[in-house]
Amino acid sequence: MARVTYAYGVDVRRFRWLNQSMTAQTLMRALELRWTVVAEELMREELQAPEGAVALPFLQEIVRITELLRLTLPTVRLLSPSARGWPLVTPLGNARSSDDWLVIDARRLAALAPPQRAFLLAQGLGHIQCGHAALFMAHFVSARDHRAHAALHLLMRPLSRIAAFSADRAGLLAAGEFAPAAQMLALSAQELPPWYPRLATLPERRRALEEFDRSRVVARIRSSRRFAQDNPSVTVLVEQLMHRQTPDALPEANTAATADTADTAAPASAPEFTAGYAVPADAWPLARCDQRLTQRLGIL
Amino acid sequence: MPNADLSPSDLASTLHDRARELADIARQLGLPQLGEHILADTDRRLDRAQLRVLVLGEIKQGKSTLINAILGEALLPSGVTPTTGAVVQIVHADELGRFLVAPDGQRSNLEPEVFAKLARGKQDFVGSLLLTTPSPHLPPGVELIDTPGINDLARFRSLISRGELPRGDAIILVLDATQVLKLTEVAFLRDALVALGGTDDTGATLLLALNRIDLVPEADRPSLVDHIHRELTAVLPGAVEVFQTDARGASKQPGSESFGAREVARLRARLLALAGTTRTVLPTRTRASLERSVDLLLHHTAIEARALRLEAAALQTELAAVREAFSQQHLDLDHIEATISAGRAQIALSCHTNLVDFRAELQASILAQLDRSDLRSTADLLPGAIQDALLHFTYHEVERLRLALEQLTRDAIHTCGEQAQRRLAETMLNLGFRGPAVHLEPPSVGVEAGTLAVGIAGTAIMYFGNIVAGMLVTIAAPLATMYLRERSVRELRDAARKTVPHALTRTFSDLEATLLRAVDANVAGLREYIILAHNQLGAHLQALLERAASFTPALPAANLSQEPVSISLPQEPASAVAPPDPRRTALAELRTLEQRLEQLRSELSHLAPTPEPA
Repeated sequence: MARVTYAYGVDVRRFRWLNQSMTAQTLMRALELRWTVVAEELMREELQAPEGAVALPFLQEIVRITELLRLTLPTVRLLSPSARGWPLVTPLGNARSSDDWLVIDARRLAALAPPQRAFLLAQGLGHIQCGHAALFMAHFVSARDHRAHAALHLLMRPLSRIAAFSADRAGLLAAGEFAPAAQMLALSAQELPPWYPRLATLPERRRALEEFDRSRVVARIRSSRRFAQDNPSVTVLVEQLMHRQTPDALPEANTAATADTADTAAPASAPEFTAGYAVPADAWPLARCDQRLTQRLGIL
Repeated sequence: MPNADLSPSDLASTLHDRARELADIARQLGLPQLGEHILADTDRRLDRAQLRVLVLGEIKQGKSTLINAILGEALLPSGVTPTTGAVVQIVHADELGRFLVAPDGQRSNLEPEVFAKLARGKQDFVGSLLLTTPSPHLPPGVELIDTPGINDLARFRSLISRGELPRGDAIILVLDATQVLKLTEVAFLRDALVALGGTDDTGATLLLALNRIDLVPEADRPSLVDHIHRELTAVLPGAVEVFQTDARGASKQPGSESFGAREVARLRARLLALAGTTRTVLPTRTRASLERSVDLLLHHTAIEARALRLEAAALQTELAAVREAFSQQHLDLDHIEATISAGRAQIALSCHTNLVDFRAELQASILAQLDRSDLRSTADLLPGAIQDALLHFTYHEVERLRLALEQLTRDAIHTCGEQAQRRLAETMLNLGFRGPAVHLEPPSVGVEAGTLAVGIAGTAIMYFGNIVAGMLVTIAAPLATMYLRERSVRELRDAARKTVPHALTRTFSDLEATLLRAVDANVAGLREYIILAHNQLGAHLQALLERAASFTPALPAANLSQEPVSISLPQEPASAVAPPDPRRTALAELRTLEQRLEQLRSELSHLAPTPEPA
């Protein structure tokens, strides 16, 4: 996914170095040795494995997103009711990518509209796919020692400042529309725990997302969604008929989500963009998005 | 509708709407009678404010005698031999009357002798028996239901009694004080609670009448009641109201002041108190009863969904099996319960054996692999490989469990639904997200750093040192690196050998518990289905399978004498649209019904009346 959406980006190259080079591995293993202990503590105190009916809708949503973006399934952990100070979705894992966790706050996520939820989950999955879980783990584990944590922030700065963009792109593709994605982007940058890596600033990330919103990749995903909407399966047809007969029965969350997305498809939606199933001619190639972003970040 | 606090009138109106919707869904599934029951019960509770009190118990426990004692007059036949063979409804009215109520609601008067004959089950009849009484002891808002013994040798009679369970609002379970709480009674109590939806937040009331208390010495009575409370703790966690009655004594001498007679009076007062709470209790009961109807309909849709995916021949075979099994309305609950219990035990045992075997195989294979693999494959690939092997095995085990559970369901009710498949699919989904079963710690940082330092030092000396030092390093650096790497691998292997057996024990124990939870949930669902559908089970299953068969195209009869089949081009133009497959459409409609039922369950669970102002 990262190769497709952020081709030739430094993100993938840098994290491949972090996760595979011998020098970086030596440093990371010092943290990873502690991660094994921390992970066991977390499972005792703050996290729980997905069990029962509560986890089911989230797992199904994660399966849907992984199929859409062709990602691998992570290990999922739910925050227990007593856990405090966690973001809505947190990727964690070892540097070998052999045990990647997606920690989700099911209670708060359930209160969001479906596209907003999809953005956050896909953002987390995107981080894992790009190998960022080790970055989050390193910050999480080192947070118990202030000096080590400050040093790690400094050492990891070249990695953490470029880590957000690919994940944000994955989020936008899963959310489908820009407005909910932008809302959640702002939310995901707020009230972060002290241990959290210092990712790129919100204006930088928002601008990169706006540019990506104009790309052919997003246009292709949108047109395939439109096609699916205009050519629904039998199940969907019957459901629509039912709702037409009883309009009051439409769930509130769906109504809100539809209204949200209808209001705010704006930034990239030229009239001809929404007309057919074809990708509009004026959609940007992905290379243009990448070029603008890398120039702005000054990473070449 | 999240957490809707409604006024009583709005709540009643909403409940009526939901009942109509459920009845409509039942009709769409080809079960109009179930729909009528749902509507009738809702009307009784909400419009007529009638609380139905079922008097249940094994044969010859004195159920009819207790009702006579409560009413203060001997209106029901009672005697030495089993006397009640039919359900009798007793309601308050201005005049004493005995009626046969036809299915269309038409009442016909019965002479006392004829009524007694019908109530004893000596003569077959169509409809139900109704007794009206002006007795001041029976409040207008309460109707008492006298039933045959739940263990009556005539199975049909016991079925009638159990079939009343889902429609009751309160239950008086009559026990014999001299042989209290037999296993069959505890099992029945468990079924009753399933049928009522429990007693927490459902408005249902459970009263125990410990009859013939006069035959128990006074000193033993407190310990007897303690024994009941203790035995029922597992089944019924809350406090149970026990009445130590002497129905015969109270019936013969209505003014008696004996302990047993006073307890009958206390039970009577409890019924009066219940009648005073109908305004608050009955909407709650309606909601709980509708929730149970939703559960039943969801079981039906799962049966129908599978039937719609069956081939015509298989469907006809199952339909024939169901018709044959239920043709006489014989639902042998004891046999079904024994089948389910034996089947569950067999499934659990084979699951345990398979897990133990696979665990031994996996552990041996991991330990063998450890001796061969290098650092990278042990630390990076082995945990994932173990996880993959475990999930691969679990997929097969879950498939085996699905087949076993479906066979168990077929053994019990001669057909089965999609419940096992769905429940196990959910379990697998959860298991797939649990992550690697074994966590291998990476090799120590010191060894890793040493390997790196040797490499850097060797390179530096090669560049900046003299030739001798360079030659020494050329030989020493790779040797040192090899030594350190070998040590690193050894450490990792030792750690893995220590970790793997414990991790596998924990993992397989969790896995077995998870799979058994799914099996138990499925078995509990099957029991719930049988309890809720009960004496209508055969009729419902036939109706569902017949409906599925009506969408299934029949196979053309094989006729070898016909002309040989020739391949010809289609007559219709290529652009012609094929007619939609009726089964596919029916299945899509069924999915929609299921979604609506799930929504209804959620809406019903959030319905709560606004407390009335004092």
